[in-house]
Amino acid sequence: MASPSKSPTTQSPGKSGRLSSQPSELMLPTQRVKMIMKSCPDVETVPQESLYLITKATELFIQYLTQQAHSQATDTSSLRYDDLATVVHSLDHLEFLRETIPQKITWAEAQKLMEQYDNKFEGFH
Amino acid sequence: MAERPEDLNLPNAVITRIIKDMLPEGVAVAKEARSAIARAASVFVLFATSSANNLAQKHKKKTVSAQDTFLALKEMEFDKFIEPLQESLEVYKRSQQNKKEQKEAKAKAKKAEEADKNSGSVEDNSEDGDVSNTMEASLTTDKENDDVMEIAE
Repeated sequence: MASPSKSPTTQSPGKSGRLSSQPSELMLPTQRVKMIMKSCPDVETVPQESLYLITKATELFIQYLTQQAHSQATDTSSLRYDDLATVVHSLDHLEFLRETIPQKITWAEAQKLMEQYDNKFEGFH
Repeated sequence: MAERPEDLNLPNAVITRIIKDMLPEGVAVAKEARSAIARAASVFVLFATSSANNLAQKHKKKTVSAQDTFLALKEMEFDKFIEPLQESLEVYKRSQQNKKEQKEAKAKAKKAEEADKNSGSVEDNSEDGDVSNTMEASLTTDKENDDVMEIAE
């Protein structure tokens, strides 16, 4: 039997660098995802199906986050940190990311906030 | 437990690829934005895993099933992922099954050949061997992962 030609489903997405046309192919490395999963306490064995699903779901999540952040950006020619922070703080189900992607304020804004805070409690000093 | 901080990070090259494919051509992705998305992705894995694990434990199960994963995503309000994931899973399971059957067929043929000629197989099975390893439950020697990590490093 001659050496079998590789069917599209066996192509390594990492090598080609392009988003695979096969919807079931993974781009993220499952071993790395598995390591992250195992760092969760109480997680013992990770069945192959669940590992596949979580890896795939994470890819979908990256796509989703990118799209959401970019869609509400004022300057659509670029994707900036603030776009991510804004979307994470405006969508309810992204609440779990608010500490990971905090909103940034300038030192001047922080000072202003502190002044306002002091003014509020003036009478209590 | 992870030994080093970088163990919990996903490869930048792949994340950048996914981001760029989602955006129109020419959109500049700030480094800070990319790293924020990378961190978010790791946190997503942790959150989804712990949610699914909690569900499994509720049913007194030791391992996280596909069912638990879907339910967890629903709880996290990522319902929109469920249908595409189910489709992908079906395709994936079928391709794994095909690989398994191909491997078994080849092993059979190889055996028959060896029995006949006793001269060894002329086929180079190394790549297929790696591919078939990925379908075994352990997922310990995934050649594709090594390649991706090399690009990223």
